[in-house]
Amino acid sequence: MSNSTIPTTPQGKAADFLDERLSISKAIKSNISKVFPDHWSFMLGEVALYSFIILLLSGTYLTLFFKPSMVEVIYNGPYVPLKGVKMSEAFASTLHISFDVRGGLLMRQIHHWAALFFIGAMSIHMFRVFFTGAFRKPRELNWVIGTVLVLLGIVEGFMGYSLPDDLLSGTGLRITQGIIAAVPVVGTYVSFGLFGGEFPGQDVVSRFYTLHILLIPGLILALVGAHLMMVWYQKHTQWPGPGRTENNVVGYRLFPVYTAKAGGFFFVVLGLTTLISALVTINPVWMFGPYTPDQISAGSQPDWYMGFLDGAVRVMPNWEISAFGHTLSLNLIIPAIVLPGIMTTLLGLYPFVSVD
Amino acid sequence: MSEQSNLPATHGAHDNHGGEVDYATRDERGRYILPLEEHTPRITDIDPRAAKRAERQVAWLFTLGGACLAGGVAAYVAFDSRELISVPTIGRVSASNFWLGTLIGLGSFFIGAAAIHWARRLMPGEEAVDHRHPLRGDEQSRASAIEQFKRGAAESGFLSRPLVRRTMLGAMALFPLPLVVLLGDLGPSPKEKLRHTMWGDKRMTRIVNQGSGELVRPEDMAVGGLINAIPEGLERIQEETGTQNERAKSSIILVRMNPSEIKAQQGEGWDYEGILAYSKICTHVGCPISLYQQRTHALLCPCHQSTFDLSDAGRVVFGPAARHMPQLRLGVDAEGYLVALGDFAEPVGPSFWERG
Ligand code: FES
Repeated sequence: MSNSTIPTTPQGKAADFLDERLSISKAIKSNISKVFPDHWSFMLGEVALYSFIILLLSGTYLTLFFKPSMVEVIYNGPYVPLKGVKMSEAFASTLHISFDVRGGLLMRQIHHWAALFFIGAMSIHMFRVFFTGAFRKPRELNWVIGTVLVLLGIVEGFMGYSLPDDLLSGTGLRITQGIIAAVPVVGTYVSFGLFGGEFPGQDVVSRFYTLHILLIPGLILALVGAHLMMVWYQKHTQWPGPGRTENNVVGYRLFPVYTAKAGGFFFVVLGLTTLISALVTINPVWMFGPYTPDQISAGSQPDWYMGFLDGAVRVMPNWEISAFGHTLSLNLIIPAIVLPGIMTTLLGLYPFVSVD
Repeated sequence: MSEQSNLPATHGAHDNHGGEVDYATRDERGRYILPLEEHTPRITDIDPRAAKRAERQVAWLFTLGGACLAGGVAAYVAFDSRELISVPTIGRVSASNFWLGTLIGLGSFFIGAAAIHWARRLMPGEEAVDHRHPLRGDEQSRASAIEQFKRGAAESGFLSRPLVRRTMLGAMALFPLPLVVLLGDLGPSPKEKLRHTMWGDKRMTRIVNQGSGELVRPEDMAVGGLINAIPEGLERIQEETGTQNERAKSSIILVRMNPSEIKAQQGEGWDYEGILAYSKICTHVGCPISLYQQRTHALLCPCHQSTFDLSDAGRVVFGPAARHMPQLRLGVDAEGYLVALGDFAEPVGPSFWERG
């Protein structure tokens, strides 16, 4: 080996150690000065990414205290109005997080607010990409990944707010069960499989928990990785302007300007999310009480990103067909299964069917 | 493209007098490209004192951030999780949540602001230009890729040995099957479970007021009144099974109206002196209903606003629900308690494929 640079400083030696084994010099050489265009609308995707990181961190904290179990216990904690009330361990541990763990309520609220910001930022980011035509060749595949990410985000959010087993989330699960049961042929079996038998059963919280903290975030993480790698490789789009062409990227370099700006922006997003969570109550499950299938709070509403589904289910005429010993609930299948299916398929395929 | 000749030549024809556009360059589609604007130096680029000032601002922001974070740690120690404080315009909130969140939130916000301020004021302000390289491989790479793939495919014999190919495809098609089959024990088979409730377990089942826990007698109910009720013995079943499954099916509402107001029932004389018992579980997707308007005898579901007329056999009068609310037949036993005489005539709650 003919080393022209023999490292003497500790940093130099560390870099040399890595380079001899992983040839990091090549990777750094070709990436560290990469140019990114600047525009406020490019921060929307960043907000989504940072919210996701906040979700991973706050969610990990919550798993330290949450008990994903539907076994019934009698509450005996500090929240007086529910003292002596029968509830699932999931709900009781949510109360414990909210009232006994210092910072627990803060983490719960950060987690919920960040989830809303995550889905909100993804949606607005998607509008930006749509209305600027940034989904066009060569970025169609990344649009498809983005569509899947929004869907996974919605599913993940829904599962997340189902976990505390409060009266509101239980109502959401009840509606989900009714919609699953409406699926022709397999619906009843899928419903019994998901709930471990009849509704509400004893299994759905622990099953959603595994999906919510492992499977779906794993998928989201992998797709976010692919999404960013494609942005990196294909280079970011830019707004027209002096000196901007189809063949160049005008902006600031990754190191140091974007490292500082994007790194700083993460802390800004984290800071604002934390501030909002300190000042604005969200999902006060102690006011709803534990889930029981014969009670409901008036005006039950899902989180906003489920609103389009809820609305579609409401406005649907009450069509149902019963024939040959079977029931076909068009009043549910059309708004809750066919409609979102068509919507997301069209959305995902839009770059391939639209004309320039 | 025809008007191209009427326009000034793209090179050398700089008639820059009078502030006219510089037609120096065009992209490959013939569109004009304005040159990159010259960088106007920022005050921090020229004035060392301004740069020094910016440096101090950044340092202050970092210091403030660190101080807030340290304050957050102090708040963790200082406040018990149950202590409340009054915050103007917000009300009485958890002191721990308020101070932890506010201080940590501000702390990370200031850190982020410091980094961004640093990047904007002190790091290079001049835009850099990168080239976008074509994503399509050059002809040689493409030819080589195809050739190598073809060679490998030929070497594998995938195409020339159909026996191997077909058996492999067949075996692989079966591969997902065990994975799906293994999910079989997620839940029991539905069988007839959705068709029965515990009202059918005995010939006569007494009715318990769900709120007070007392057995219901006909004289407890005034005309126009409504009682949420459950079958006697439900609590015991819930204790034994550890689930709320039975509650999700057998919850009912009792209403009393003038016998003359009853237009129709699901069975001849199923009321008891104007007292009617209906399932509480909406036939749409299963929300429990208890919004009742006594003057019109309308029962309104809070989930999707399906409305049922309890004076007319529980008929759907509005909304997405397709089926009437199932009714129970009422009577009194020897001791004068209100009883249900047998089960509902049909499954309660949402539809399912096998319902018929
Ligand atoms: S559940 Fe009652 S209207 Fe939908």
